[in-house]
Amino acid sequence: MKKLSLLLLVVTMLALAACGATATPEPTKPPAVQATATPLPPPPPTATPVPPTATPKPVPQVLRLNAGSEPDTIDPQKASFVGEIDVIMKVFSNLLTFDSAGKLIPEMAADMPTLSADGLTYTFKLRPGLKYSDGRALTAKDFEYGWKRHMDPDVAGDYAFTGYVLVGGEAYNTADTKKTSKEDLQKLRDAVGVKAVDDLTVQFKLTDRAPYFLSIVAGWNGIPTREDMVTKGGEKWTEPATYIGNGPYILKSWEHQTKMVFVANANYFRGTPPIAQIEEVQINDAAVAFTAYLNGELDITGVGSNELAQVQGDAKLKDQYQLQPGTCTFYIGFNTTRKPFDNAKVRRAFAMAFDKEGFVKNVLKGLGIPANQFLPPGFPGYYSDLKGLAFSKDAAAKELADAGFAGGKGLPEIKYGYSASPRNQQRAEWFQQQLKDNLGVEIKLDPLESKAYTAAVKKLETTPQMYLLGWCQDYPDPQDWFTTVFDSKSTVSHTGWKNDDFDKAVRAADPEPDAKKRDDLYKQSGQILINDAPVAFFWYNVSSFVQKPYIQGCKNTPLDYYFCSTTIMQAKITAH
Amino acid sequence: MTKFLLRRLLWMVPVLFVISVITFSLMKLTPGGPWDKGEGRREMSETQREILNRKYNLDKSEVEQYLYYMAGAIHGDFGPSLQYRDRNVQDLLFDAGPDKGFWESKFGRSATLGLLAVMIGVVVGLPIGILAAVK
Repeated sequence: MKKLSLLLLVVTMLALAACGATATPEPTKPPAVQATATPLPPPPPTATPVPPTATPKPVPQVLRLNAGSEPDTIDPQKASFVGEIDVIMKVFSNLLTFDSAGKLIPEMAADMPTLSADGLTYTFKLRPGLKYSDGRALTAKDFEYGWKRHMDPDVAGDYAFTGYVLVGGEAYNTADTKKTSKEDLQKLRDAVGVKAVDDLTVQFKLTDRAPYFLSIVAGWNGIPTREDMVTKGGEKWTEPATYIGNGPYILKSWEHQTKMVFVANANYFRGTPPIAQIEEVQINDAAVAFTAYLNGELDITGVGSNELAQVQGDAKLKDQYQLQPGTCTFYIGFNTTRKPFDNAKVRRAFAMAFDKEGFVKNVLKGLGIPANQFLPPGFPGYYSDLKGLAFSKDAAAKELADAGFAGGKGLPEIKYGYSASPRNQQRAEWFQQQLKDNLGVEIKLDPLESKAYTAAVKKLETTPQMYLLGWCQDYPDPQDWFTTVFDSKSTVSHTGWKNDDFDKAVRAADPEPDAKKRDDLYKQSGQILINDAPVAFFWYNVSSFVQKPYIQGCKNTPLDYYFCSTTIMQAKITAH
Repeated sequence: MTKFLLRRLLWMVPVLFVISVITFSLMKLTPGGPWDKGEGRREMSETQREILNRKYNLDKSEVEQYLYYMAGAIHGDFGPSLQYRDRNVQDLLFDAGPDKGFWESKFGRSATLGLLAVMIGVVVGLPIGILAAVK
């Protein structure tokens, strides 16, 4: 018995230690909104008249946001998630960027790049006099280092694949560091198609024409990390002391799992941003964050379906409310290798048998936009004249009859798989009811535990017949959507769909230098995708938040990397 | 008395060893892996997974992984964090940040709870035990 109690004691202590380290679930990232400070009461009227020329107290330019949770990493060459990119793009800047209209403009580069006649070499000239926040000069060599580090197999960045279009990129990134000699690894690194021709010129050599490469260098890929800082800081180089960047802000302090503070970078080439300090806390409960906003402790916060009623019901809050299209599309996926979804007519019938608008209104409570094509409106690759499969009981019934299953007779058992959670259960039940009411088909709900569901969807043999899927944008280019997801070589569609016409269209579009021809080809592919229906487009997500009215000059766009990133040089806090 | 204490302390070694094997096996037996991204996040490609697995020795057999882990653990090196890719596990457990002491770290707080639990057990249990024995 004595040994048993000792065992129990040790186990208990270990269990307690383990409890402290469980990861908190990721909340949806609220848009950057600073809490507003409680307004100061007006000064009491004085007996003696005060001269009217008294200078007003300057408004503290401090923005208070909620990051939601601690980012897993803020290393530019390892990041993959919006919360991480949010931090990175405050502290670092890339060759190009997007303006508030969604147009590509030069950032660290002096101008848009020149392209060689064969379309395989991009040459960027940097602006003269660029500096990092600590005053050290930024040169082309830093961009070369950033990209080579991005492809380094030891760094193993999630988004290294964006560099596979560079000569030698994939070979270096997939090299087995345990089996390859140091010299050979260095050779592979040297062979990667990025080079600092001189201090102000960066040159990229591509394996194929790729107009979408410009969108990639407008993001966080290939950011010019400081080699001396990475060496100095080693594993901990992302701590504020060594996390030196070239962007509008400096990471001043990072209290892990609690708060990050950013201060304006006077060495940013566009000048010092007007908002002098950004404080980001990590409140991962949406209700708590909302209360903080109401109390004036946050300047911006997300509005979920639980808070929406309160916002709509209050005139002031309603005024502060903003709804932006998100960067994701959700759709019902069909496993085209399993009956009955090997038949396009059946797929189309199901696609037209549910009321997307009703879903957005009743289930999402307005926090969504019904989707009839792959890309969300406002994104390159969205075409307003594409004809979607609109909700129609009659059209759906006709397709089903044409397929030989009139009224649903003769259909095999159909299971709808999803990751078990109360929210997904509610949506699945809605979908099941819709198919019953509109198509007369009874499907079976097949919830799976979250990890088991992810594992099942990965292999076509175990992918459910029908399931819910989504795709979020990596970089704003139709290639990242159409080709990356639905080309028959892709591994992320999980539909097993192969369509030669679609493949031909996107493979011709990807390298096409003529912008109009390229757009037409993608448009064509977009229509094929709708008509052949390997998936049934459902809804686009939205960014829903309230923002204090004293934040002026800010234009929130779907392409923002962080709060107001495209207009950060105009955003400021006014008196309140 | 010393022999008794010594024996108890020595027993801790095999017990901790068994616990480490059980915990390690449980982690390996649960479905999913460290690179599964969960809902709403992009899944990694197979190539990417292979590169990461190679980097963190996850492509080796489970026995080898356990040995790598224990070899480090004995020296207080619990390896890199698979979730927080910029930090290692011992920092996450023991380092509460600049100007913060050991007791404010995650391990420190858990140890505090554990020690309090032991104290309550002793303070309450010892007198009751003595009383029961005497009665």
